[in-house]
Amino acid sequence: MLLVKHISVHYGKLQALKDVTLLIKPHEIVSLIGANGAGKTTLLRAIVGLENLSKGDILLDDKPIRSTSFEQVPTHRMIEKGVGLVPEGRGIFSDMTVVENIDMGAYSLRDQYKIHQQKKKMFDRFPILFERREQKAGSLSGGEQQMLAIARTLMASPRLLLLDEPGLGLAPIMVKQVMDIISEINKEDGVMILLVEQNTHIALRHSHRGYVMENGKIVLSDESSALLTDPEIKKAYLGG
Amino acid sequence: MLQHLLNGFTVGSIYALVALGYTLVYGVLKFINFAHGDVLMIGTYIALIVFNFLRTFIEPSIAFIIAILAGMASSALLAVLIERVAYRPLRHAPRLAPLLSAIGLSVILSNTAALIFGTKSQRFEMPFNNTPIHWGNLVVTPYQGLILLTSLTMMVLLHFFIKMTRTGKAMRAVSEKPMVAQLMGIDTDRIIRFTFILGSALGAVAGILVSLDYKVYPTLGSLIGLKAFIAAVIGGIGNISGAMLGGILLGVLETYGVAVLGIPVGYKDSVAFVLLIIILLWRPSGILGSNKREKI
Repeated sequence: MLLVKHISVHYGKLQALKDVTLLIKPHEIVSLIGANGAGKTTLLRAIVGLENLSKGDILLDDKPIRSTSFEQVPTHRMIEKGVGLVPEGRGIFSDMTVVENIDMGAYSLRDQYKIHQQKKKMFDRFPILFERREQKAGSLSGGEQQMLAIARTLMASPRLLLLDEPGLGLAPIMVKQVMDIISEINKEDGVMILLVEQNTHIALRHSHRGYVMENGKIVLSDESSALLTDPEIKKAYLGG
Repeated sequence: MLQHLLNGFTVGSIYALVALGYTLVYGVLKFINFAHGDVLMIGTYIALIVFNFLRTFIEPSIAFIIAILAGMASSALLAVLIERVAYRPLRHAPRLAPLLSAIGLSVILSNTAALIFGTKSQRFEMPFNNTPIHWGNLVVTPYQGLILLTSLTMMVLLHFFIKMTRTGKAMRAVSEKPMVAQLMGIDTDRIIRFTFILGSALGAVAGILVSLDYKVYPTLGSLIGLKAFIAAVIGGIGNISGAMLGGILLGVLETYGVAVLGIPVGYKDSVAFVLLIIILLWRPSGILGSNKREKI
């Protein structure tokens, strides 16, 4: 369970997040929707410690991971704690091969047998990555790169997966494929997922609940099915 | 001709070793460590002191090996210290700040060395026999052989280290996308510290090897540092093979410039700068450098 409790984040004088509260329950896919600059990416960055909180705290399974008052978990330990972020633009290491990227995902693991098992699991789930394992990751197509970014983060078996715009720049058919994979990961491994996605319709269809952000604030939250039929949401985010 | 090539290769491999220090640090921090030459100079002095001390008790060649290790260790230690106090606090400052910090440190280090060790140059007193060996027309001194053997071995080891090992891969990851590297669980501070250790230890070896033929003096690091920096830029800064290629190329061209083109010895150093200008005009990112526009 992830509980974001009344957090605020400032960039200098500008307040990027205003008293944001958000909950992800076990086995849940939660989508976070809102316009550009609403603060969605900032929220993801705050969870993994790439932004400092000016107020509030964040708890993972009732244990505080971020706050303003005490020692925080550094970003490079978040994956050990079970939180993986697939950043916007995928963030693959393009000068490294596909398999080296996967190896980097296993950096926090020490057990060679476990690494081997995980690798096998990833290559079974993403056969295209196995086919291209010795290629430079930069030579993959956008969709393949997104698969690689997800597979790489899954190597460390996170309990919570944060996805920042996984469909960005992909063809509609690829977006659907990536979304199906996300649902599958959630169903099979019980991974909690926080999904930030521009494509509101697809995000809501693939999630259990949704939060709507505007100007750094959560303005609405509900079951995704309810949000899909909400007249306000329809007007603002679903194109009528 | 072959003789010049061999001589050029020898000088070039020294440049290459030092250039690696610039390029490795640039790779992970996107910053030119202008104190690199002076750090290796200090390591060379420490090696000299250790050597002179041990030489009276034990076999000079063994004393020399111990001296090299001591030089590597002290350069590495110094580099870690510098990184901690002079660079890390400026990690998020404008890019000019750490650069100026490095230049300042360079001045401090070379002056401190002059103060402690004196400005008079000193030398390693014959760690072993240096009678040249003749192969047909080719003359090789044992020092040359040692320089070539040591530096080539180190470059090959470094290549495999970067390519194969967990830490080597992490270095590449930090170099390409430091934020994503953190998300993978890589402690970037640790990798950066390690990069400084690696680069300065290689630099110390180069400093000691070059002092066999020349001497040890407080500004030793400045000229070799500048040349090696040029070599790193020629090869493509941030690119490891580029640093090796740039170093060797510079060494060979310098030697040919003097021996074949008849450039007066006094102007030898200008070869590097002319080469730098040509490369910057023709291929600003260096021979093996990528053409990626750098995003800040």
